[in-house]
Amino acid sequence: MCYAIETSLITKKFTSIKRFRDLLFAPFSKKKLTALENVSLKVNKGEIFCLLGPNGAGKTTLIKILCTLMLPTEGRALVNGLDVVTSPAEVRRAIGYAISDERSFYWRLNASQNLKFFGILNNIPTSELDQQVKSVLKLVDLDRRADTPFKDFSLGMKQRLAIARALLTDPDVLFMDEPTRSLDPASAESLRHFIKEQVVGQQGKTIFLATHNLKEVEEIGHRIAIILDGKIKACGAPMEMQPVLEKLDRYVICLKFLPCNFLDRLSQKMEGMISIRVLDKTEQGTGTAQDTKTGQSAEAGQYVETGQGVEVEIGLAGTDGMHGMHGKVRLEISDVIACIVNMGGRIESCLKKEIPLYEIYSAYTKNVQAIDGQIANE
Amino acid sequence: MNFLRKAFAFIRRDFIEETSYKFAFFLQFFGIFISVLIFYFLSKLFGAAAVPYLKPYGGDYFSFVLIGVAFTNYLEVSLHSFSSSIRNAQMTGTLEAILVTQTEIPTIIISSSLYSFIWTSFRVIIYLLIGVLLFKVNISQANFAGASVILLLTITTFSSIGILSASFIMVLKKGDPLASLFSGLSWFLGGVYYPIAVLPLWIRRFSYLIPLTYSLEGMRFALLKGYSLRALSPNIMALGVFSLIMLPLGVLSFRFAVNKAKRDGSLTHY
Repeated sequence: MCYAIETSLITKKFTSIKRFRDLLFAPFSKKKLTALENVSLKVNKGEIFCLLGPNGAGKTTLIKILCTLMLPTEGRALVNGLDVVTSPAEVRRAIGYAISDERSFYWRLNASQNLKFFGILNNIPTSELDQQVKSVLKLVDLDRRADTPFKDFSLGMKQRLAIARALLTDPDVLFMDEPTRSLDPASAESLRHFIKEQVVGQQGKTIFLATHNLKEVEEIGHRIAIILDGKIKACGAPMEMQPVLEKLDRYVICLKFLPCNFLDRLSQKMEGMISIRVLDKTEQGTGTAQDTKTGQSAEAGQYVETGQGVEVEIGLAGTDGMHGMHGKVRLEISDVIACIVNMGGRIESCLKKEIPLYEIYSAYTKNVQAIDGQIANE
Repeated sequence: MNFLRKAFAFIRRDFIEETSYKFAFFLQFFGIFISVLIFYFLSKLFGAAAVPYLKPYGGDYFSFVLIGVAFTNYLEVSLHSFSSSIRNAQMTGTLEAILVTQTEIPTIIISSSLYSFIWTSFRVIIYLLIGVLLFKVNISQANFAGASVILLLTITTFSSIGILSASFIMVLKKGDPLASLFSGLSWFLGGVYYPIAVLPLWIRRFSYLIPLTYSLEGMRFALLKGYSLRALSPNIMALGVFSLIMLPLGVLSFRFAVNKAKRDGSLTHY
């Protein structure tokens, strides 16, 4: 199968800038900084693939390698089946790069002049250029601002024009480096909607998007790769990534007509094996989340009155996300349900809860920090 | 054809940008006029004192220096336009956007500099027009075909050095040693303000290692004395040799610099 993007063990090392002291005492030494280490990814055609990582993780370096602006130190990268090192010109024909830096346009030229300039550099025939420029401007809803100098554009308009430029050649693969950076929430939302609905939904492009914005990834990403210190820590759809972590199974259970001190008793009975979090009192619907401490949940008993319904989030033992519990016995949700029923609880519904991306992301980050700490101690 | 279309796109881009700064654009004409005036009055000061040295060029200092200054503009633009176009694009952030297009780097570099060459040619014409129309510089015997050949070889030689200089900028980002050194030596040894005959013999020998010496001498012979192509052949040969050596050297060094910048990941750094 031909992937839109395929990288195999890509490594990129930079030679660090020498200090004056190094020039004097070690003029020939070459200190290397590793920006990417053995990065292997596969991106399917027509998907939005998000590369998620903090600043300095190596996201932009990877994009620049894939866009032929940088050569990898080791490894191989293919875009649309074309090698970025041996066939850079062909790769550039297949891609569009939406550079989020607003300085990448000519500020004294208007939107149309800017796009025509880049269109000519992209070998768009004269007979098609005008039409193509008009068409992409219309697509990004800037057709009425075609004659406005770029310097008079708002940040959101500049970002949209960057996407229009990337779409000029009708490429198969689009690279975006933090496209919503510096945008206000409404503009960012609008841009994300545009990418998802127009660029991918209607145009069928493959998007490779680098970001550190979790909301963005959650909203539009089909698949995600988490990159930290140049290494891919996880890759897949958010749900696929969960088993890679310690168990993060959580269920939302809706209970009806709770017996007296039910949650307290449940907590005590399954102490160390589950965590309980009250999400909502279903009959009163306060919507206020109240945490209960496992096994000592006096608050839960006070909060939820006898006979009231409640929606609770049950975290199974081994969960590392909610209260730092580390259970010794591994439970299944069926065990918890049986226990609730035996204690006289009435279950209205039970749904497995999707773990929010920020928890997956922070779990990876914590793991990395813990590993780093361990290495430092050793 | 495709190259011409792209070259024209760059020229158009630069023209729109330049003319959008209207005051600065028109101020340049004022600068040319003032510098011509300065040289005119300097020539009045020298009077006939410098005539023996200027005899091979027609004996008039104003004509001599006007052609020297006008055509040295080509040296400056050739030396600096390639590297400055890269540096400007790096600084403004447009380089990355250009490099990811389907245009090869040599086309980008050459096309980015074309506007500077056109503008320089325009300046040279203005210099000559002011000289001829207002200050009675005599170019009635001029051999324009010979001057064109000299000009073409001059641009080729200087541009090769300029591309070599751009290679340094590509790798070092700032502080290109070649352009500054070459420019300084050319102004000193190339006979811009004075004939090289005034230099002591041991310094004059170094003048013959500088392409500008042959360019300005050839240009003055062609425009002021109307020398034929045959008479200009020593200058043409010398510039031809410089071109043959410098052009491949410039192209190879630039290719090497681009690959190094891509390996280092510093292509768009500044």
